[in-house]
Amino acid sequence: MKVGLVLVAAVGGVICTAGGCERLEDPCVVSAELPIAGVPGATAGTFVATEARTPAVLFLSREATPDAGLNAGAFATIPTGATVLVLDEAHRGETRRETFKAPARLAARKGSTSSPGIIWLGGAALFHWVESTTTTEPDGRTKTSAKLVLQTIDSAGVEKPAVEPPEMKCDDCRLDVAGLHIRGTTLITFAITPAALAIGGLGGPATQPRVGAFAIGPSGEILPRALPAIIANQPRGLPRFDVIDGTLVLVGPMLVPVDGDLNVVGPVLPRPGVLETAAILDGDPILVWASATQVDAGREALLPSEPNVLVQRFDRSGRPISNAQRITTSPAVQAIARSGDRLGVVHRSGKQYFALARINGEKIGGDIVVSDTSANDDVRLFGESSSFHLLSVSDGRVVRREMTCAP
Amino acid sequence: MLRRLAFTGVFAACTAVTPIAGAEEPKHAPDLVAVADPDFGMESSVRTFMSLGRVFRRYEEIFPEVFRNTGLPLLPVLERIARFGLLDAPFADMQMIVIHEVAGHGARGREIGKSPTFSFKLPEPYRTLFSPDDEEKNFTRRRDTGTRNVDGDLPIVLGGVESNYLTAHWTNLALVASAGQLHFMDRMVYMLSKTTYASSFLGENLATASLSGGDDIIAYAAQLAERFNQFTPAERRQVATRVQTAYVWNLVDPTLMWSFWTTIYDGFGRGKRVSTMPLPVVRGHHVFLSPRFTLSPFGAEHYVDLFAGKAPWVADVYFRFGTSGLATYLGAGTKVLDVPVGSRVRAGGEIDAWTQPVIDRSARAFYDRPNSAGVNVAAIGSVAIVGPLSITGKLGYKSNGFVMGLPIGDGPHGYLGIALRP
Repeated sequence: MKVGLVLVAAVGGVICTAGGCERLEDPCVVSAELPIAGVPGATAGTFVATEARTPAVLFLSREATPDAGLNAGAFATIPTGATVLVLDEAHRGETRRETFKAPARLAARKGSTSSPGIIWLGGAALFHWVESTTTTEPDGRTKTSAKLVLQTIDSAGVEKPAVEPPEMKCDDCRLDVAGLHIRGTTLITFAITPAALAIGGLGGPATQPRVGAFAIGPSGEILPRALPAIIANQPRGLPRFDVIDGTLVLVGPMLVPVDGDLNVVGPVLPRPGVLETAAILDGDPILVWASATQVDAGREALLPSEPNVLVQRFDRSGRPISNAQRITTSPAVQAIARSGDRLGVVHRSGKQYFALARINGEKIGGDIVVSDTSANDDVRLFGESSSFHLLSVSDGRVVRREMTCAP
Repeated sequence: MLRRLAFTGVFAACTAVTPIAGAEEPKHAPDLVAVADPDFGMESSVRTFMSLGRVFRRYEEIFPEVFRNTGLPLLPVLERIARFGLLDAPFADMQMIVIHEVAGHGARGREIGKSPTFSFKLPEPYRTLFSPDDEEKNFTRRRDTGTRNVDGDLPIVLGGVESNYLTAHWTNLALVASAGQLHFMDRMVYMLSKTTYASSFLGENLATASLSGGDDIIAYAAQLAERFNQFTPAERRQVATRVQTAYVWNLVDPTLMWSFWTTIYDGFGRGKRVSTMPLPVVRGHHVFLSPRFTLSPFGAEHYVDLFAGKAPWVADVYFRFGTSGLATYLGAGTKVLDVPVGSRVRAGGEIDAWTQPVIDRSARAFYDRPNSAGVNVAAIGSVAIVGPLSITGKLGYKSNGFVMGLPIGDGPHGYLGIALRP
């Protein structure tokens, strides 16, 4: 029960009423979401890894179709097209959009199609997918053969011939593919995982994937590329490309800056644990990651509660120059950005939160709720003038939120 | 509301049919009280359960000592030891446990809108006799789901021992108000209250357990480290070590030592149920300097109390400080009880002031917080209605902050009920 007039004042970081001081003041104010672009009817959307200053967002159009290759009643979703929105430099609207239909060959697939994806080439889109075919051998044994198919289509709907790289075929296996287009070159990574052998009705031992990469030349020719040894020799699933602060990075058991020929061109940074890692590579590298384990007296043990979100700084050689500092607890780190001498981190623990810290990892204030929804949206965080703004992609929309922080 | 009225009525009936006069009791024993507030908060519940204990210990009238006046040298002592093991100790243990669970964890849980449930086990030696394979402990279970917050959980976890230390504090108030006299059972409950979880405080497992595992003290140390971002194993161990070191303050306690000695010498040896602590007297008033201890949401909290009194009133001036090294938390205050005002009224009050980090149950991962000053002011009194029966109550107002036994949030607080003068 509050008696008398309610006088709200922020006193030294505490919000006080006539009754007392019991609410802590957030270091930043998060604005309501402001839609800046969208594709009606689209569902999932992701930011395109690009070295350009203006972000691009790719939305897929999908339809659910019965999958003849799976159990009755199961559905596979095959992209029927894609739309890429290119945002303006101020991140407040779109400057152009490009729409692509799926190649006829992909659209005709009604199942037995895996690992579908799209690589935006700027003016065209490279669709990739894996076609599986199951046959019965003369001895009665069934064999499933998989092959990778690549096909480029431009925004006018003109299709180039489909390419089936001869090395991207395997039997009784799983074939995963990812890629991006940067500086005129399309780079693809792949992981081929043999199916586990069944021994006497029991499952066999887990099998390690074979990972590799290749580039696609201007005429569609396949150009082999060698993954850095640190990625190739320690496969942890499919390595993928990303662009962080304009730097092309291979994300595997480590974060490895590379050039178009996959030569290592910068400090190799750790990618601790198996949870997401976000990084700042502009200047001295800064990593943030969620760690579900902790080492005590040489033994690694699972934490009993939420993973620790840790921040650590490195020099340009990749050597740590600070201890890992905890800024919060959360199972999923989504983004990090720098604004002056401060870091902003977006993470998700049910709700989506924003955490502010000093450059040395010292937390400022508490976590601030950004969104109450539990949707796993793709985000990008940008820092400017001691504040930040967040771009989020979900449900066919790109929205912007401001994080205005006290100096 | 009906439950509260029924509870008060049952208590009044019990006290009406079991007059204290005639039993061996302190000459100036404080009133028996049955008080409650809408949440059955800690202070009202502790005071009520302490009074209930004084009522139920009247069993010693039903079971008088058999060998007391036989002149035999050893049998009376053996009889008192047997009575201690089969009656006194189990009963005192139950009283301490009920206070710990219901008035401790339960009160802090009810304060934030939870509806806890309780599970109690047979006290020793009956547990060993009747359910030797039962290894479960007494516990309080909270029935809530959703994300839990350290600011909300910490007070609940520490609430159990906090209520026990509050029991010890109110016992010291009664000790001074009674010119140093204290009943055997009150000394028993005092010792149990002060030494509850001693093995956990001083044990080796304190720094190694998880946020949700282990007993109250292990969970407290883990949550305290979490609250202040001491997340590495070395940092957690340091937090636990400081709690362990601070706990020694709790044991260096003249009332505790005196209670232990008189239990053996007066209680077993001489068969005296009421003993008198030799308190210093200054200008006709008994005075007593005593340490006090509790756990707080910021770490261990130490008090120095200066009691003064002349039956029936008692006063206490204290200051408090923290030693966790995780934050700065200080305070001071005073309390006066049972000052006669006319023939029918006894009045008193309390004032507390403090500086401590803000407690905000909506905060998430807010490790480094500003300090906030706070104050509590309350009036305490009773008005005689008829004969020994009085209406008694407390009404006060406090700002947000931790004060032993009081609600943490800001706003009015207090309780109302009846008192029976013994």
